[in-house]
Amino acid sequence: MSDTTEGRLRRVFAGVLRVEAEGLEPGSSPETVETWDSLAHLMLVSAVESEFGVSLTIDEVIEMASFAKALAVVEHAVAARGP
Amino acid sequence: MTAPTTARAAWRAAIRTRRAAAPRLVRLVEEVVALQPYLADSIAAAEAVDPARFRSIGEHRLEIMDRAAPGGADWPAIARRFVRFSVEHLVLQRRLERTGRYDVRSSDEADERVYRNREVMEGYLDGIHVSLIFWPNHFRFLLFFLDRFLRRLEGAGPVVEAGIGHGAHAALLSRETGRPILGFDISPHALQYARRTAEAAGARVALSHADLRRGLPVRTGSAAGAICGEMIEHVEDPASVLRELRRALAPGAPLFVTTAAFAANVDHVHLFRSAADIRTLLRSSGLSVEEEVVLPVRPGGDPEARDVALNYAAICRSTGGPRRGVS
Repeated sequence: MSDTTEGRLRRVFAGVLRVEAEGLEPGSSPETVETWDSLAHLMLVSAVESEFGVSLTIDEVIEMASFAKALAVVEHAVAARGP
Repeated sequence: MTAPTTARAAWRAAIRTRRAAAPRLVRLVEEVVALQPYLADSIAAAEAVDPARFRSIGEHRLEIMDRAAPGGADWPAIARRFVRFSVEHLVLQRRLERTGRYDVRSSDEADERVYRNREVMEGYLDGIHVSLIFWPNHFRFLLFFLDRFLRRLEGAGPVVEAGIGHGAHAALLSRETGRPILGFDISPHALQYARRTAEAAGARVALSHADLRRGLPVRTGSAAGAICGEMIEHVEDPASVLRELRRALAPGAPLFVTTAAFAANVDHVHLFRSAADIRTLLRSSGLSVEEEVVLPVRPGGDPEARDVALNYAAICRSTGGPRRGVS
């Protein structure tokens, strides 16, 4: 699997949600993934923060309500952190 | 349209069929779940407590919110505020479990960051108001209040509410019993919010500003009952607030108190570590617990364990003895 931001995020999500990485789609969300409950959401936040070395705000934690939205949040947070 | 893929999505589809009976409730569920789909789990758990009353009491509360807002309720904004209130709790709870302490170190800090800040406070009040219906533990406490506390009120005299906040309990008490209420709060924004709630509900509530850390401006032994909801964990010395409430109560009059142990929020200051901690405090403040409901925040948690997030509610009475107060 690629080391792009999307590839890394895919691995993070698959690990926390205990689903196949390939099965994650942009629209994957708690509406489609049974294991994505409130506890899993916070574990996703922790895992994203440690994988990408970023710290997410409450608004960003709320914003990442699907895989595609989480990717946008991460890309923005990584860009804001700088090189 | 494809079939729902999760139990969560199936529940959401099912609640949509209740739109005719509870239009505001269904609308708000839709708005909340669109923003943060996993919060459907909490709302579904609240509904499961008592589906019929979830709909009737929930719709009634939202009708009051609708009437209280100038120009009608802005449901997308209320949904955003409730989502923020819920997610902030989750994030702060995770931090508490790592650090073993609340973020806010003093009630003065909470006063400055929350109670005096109009924007923060209005969002917070909408959030906690909706949590009365959408958080299963808060909904259970609301039923405990309606079913168990109100029937214990006897004799003449007003009911005192210390930390009136959104004003929902006072409005419900007025509707169910016709009793007058004296409501106090440290936040000028809460007093405005509670006033709008009372007016929308046609409730008799007299509101005054009071810093409860410095006493309760009520005559000794004059109250037919008292309410103190989600307040004592916001001050450094909860015993002083409880002693003041006890002083205000007429002999034998009941106190309805709710609080939280090891459960974080933006303005929680006093960290109770267990239900036993809370009982000890009530007893040492001259109150005996007549009935209580202790609920773990996370399903399956042990309500008697230490350092497990809990919601606690009790109906208390004075154990007698001298009714000394600080004022």
